Amino acid sequence: MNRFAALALTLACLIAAPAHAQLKIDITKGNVAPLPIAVPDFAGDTQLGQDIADVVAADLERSGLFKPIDKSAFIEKIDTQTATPRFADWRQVGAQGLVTGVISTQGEHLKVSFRLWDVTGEQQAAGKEYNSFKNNWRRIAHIIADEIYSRLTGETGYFDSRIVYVAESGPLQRRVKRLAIMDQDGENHKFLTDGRYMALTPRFSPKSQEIIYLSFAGKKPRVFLRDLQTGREESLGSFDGMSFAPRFTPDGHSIIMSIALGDSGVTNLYTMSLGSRQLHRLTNSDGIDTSPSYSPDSKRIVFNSDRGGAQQIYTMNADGSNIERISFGDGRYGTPAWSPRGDLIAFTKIAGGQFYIGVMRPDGSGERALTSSYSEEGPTWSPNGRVIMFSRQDRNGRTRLYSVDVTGYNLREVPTPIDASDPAWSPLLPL
Amino acid sequence: MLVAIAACTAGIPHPAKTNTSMASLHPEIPHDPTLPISLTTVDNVKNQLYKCWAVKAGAAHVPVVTIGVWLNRDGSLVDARYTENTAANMHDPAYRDAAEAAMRAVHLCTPLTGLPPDKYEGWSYIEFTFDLAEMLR
Repeated sequence: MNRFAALALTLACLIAAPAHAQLKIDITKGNVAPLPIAVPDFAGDTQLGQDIADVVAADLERSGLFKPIDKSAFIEKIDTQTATPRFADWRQVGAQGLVTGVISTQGEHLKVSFRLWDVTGEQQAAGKEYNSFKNNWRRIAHIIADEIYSRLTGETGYFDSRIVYVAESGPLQRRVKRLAIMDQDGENHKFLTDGRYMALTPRFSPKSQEIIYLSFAGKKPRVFLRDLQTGREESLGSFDGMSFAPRFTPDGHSIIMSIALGDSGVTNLYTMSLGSRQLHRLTNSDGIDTSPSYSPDSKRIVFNSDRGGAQQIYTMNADGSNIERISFGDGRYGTPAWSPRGDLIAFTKIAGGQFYIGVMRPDGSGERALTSSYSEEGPTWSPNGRVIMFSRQDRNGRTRLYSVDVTGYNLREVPTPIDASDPAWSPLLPL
Repeated sequence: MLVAIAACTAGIPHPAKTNTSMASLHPEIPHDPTLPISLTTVDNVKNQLYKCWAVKAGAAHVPVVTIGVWLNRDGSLVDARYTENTAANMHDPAYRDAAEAAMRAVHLCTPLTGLPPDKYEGWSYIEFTFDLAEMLR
């Protein structure tokens, strides 16, 4: 066929055939592949070097975003004289990131420096030095893990934090409930109460090393404030009714809780200044308003109420005005918790005989279930708003803590010595 | 003439076969709504790609990458090429990372399954835009 005819045919095709229109498809989701990272033992001290590297690697792995490479595969040995790693050796074992560290000790003092290397780009990505005491080595490891996490994900970390929760034991009819505290990786575990009186709903102060919780010493539950460093406790007064679900306000100067007055069971939200101990009522329903949680900017409060009939989630301004219902799905909603990032509210939902931990945006849109089971509840957020911890009970009554990423991936059981419920996640610890 | 008409309805010809650049062959033709590709087919293809696209850990800003894909009737891959917009940014390492991850997804995922053979002309060429903005919100 001559060139003119070919051109005419091509033009005819373009004009005559709308079937040539493109099919365009948007791919808006992927699956997150953990970044392969190598964390060799830190040089300069054999035991501490291994301990710190192991804690860093475990933190990164637990986040679900990193995949530490098996140490036995390593080729190059990092020592105190290593200035720049042999990147080819690390590429060979599949590492994209590499963490090297050097330790020196003098008496009880400890100096740790680390460097994060981009193996593909063959350059240093981060590096810092820390001076502290030997017995602080775990915190240093968590702080280093946070630096690495932050540099590689663009988000703040969450490893240098603690969990306070209710440790449970004994038969279901005579359950012993005591408070316990541990690092977010389950280490440094300590019981805070002795189990003589039931202790519930512990919550961290956002600003100080204190917790509040409910104790059933005596007939009525009382709210107690405890200093975690000194162990000193004080009762925040007895209120005219039963008090529940106390939480700190974001500035740490007041608490918010629900109080049930009289026998009617009518329960409303109150704040109380820790300084003046003045009570201030926020809601005025004739039902049950409970489980309040502040937005991180202190302007709004999310809470649980049955004012509309069934248990649902509402938000309101911090002064109690502008109450809006935000949950609208089938079933009952409770235990709302506002993310420290302000962008999401986590909650427990019961529908169709199944329990769910879910999240929704503060206006109620975008509701997503993250997990579901026979019985689970009580979400608490990691300091960076990326991970949620909650408790789950199986049909035999065994109750444990679990964590899940806000994307719904990486569900894991959190190790505790005995049964556990009602976790609360601390902010990042002060440096 | 019969031969010519058959050539017209065979879908968008692969550049290597016609020696013409992608841009000149179909400049900005929008998706034709009369094209009989059902939403379920589109969802089916999306779900396959979701599983194949490995997003790097904690990606905070993932560049948008567009890849043109030519398929055989059995859903297997004839060729996959970056569009001109995407190809122009490959000098940027972060962009290149993202582009290569998207390309790997296309290769991992083909042959695509569940595509209606009687509507082959509608899906013999697909332009995929990889855009994580919604997931990262």
